[in-house]
Amino acid sequence: MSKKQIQIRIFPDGQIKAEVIGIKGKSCTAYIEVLEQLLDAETIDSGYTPEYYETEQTEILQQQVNVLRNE
Amino acid sequence: MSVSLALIPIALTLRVVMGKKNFHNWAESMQLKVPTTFKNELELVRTVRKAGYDAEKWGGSFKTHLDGGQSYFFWEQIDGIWTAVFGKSDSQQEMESFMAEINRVAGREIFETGASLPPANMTVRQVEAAPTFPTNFRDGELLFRTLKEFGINPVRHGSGIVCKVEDSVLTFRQSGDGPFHVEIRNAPDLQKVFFYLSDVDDDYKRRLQSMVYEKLKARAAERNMTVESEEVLEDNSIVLTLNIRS
Repeated sequence: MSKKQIQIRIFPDGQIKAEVIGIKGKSCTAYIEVLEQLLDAETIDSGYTPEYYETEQTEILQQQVNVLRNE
Repeated sequence: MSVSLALIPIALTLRVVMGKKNFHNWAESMQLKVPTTFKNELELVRTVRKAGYDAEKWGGSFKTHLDGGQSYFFWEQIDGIWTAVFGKSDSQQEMESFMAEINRVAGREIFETGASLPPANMTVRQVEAAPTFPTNFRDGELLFRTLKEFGINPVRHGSGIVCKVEDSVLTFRQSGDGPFHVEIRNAPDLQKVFFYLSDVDDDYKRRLQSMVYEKLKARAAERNMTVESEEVLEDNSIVLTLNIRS
């Protein structure tokens, strides 16, 4: 199991980049607010990395299976 | 990895590009402020969007693009009044057409000037009487400390900060939690003042970097997160890796 981590890079011009690592699916988005509180900062851009979509795809497939079962 | 973010500290906004090579752009950012009768933020955003423009939240203010995204201006709350802050070099025709459209969509006079700006030459004269420029500063305490460390003697006047640089008087003013503006009086050489402000801007950001780093470490510890590693890279950015305990 991969470690759950946050990597934060604070630039000398004040800008900040952060990545949440090892947390799959939608639960990683909860860390956006945590990061804003930790850093006293506002998010100006965000993106999901492949890991997020892998898990999302699994969830969608599961939903499709459930729909088929109910039909 | 699952989510990546770009953030800016609330003490900062990215309104102006400073630095020695950007004097011309900065001079063009001299501002023309047009007050509105918007009752609140919600009415502003709804009306602007209904008129077919954007209103993007931007460091304590809103940003709206004009001319098909070629130019933009900011909305700021100044003394409780939502105000459109245009750049000196923005097209007057574009501004007038924008204001007329906003008035039409709102069904009333949103712009107190009756959807017309003063003649271009008059605007420039008015602006030149007390030139005001945007800054990237939002934290008054940090700005005060930065100016003080620069060896000048900043003085607080209400919510503003006044200081003297050679013969020029700089007055920093802020509305709400929006960015500070700087009013420059008696500046025989505006470029010299700009270079000075560029250095203040650099120093403010360096201090902010250090402040964010210190706060982050303290707050991470409070949340039971541990520091896995930290390093300073060649570009002087600080990279911290925190372990999350579930």
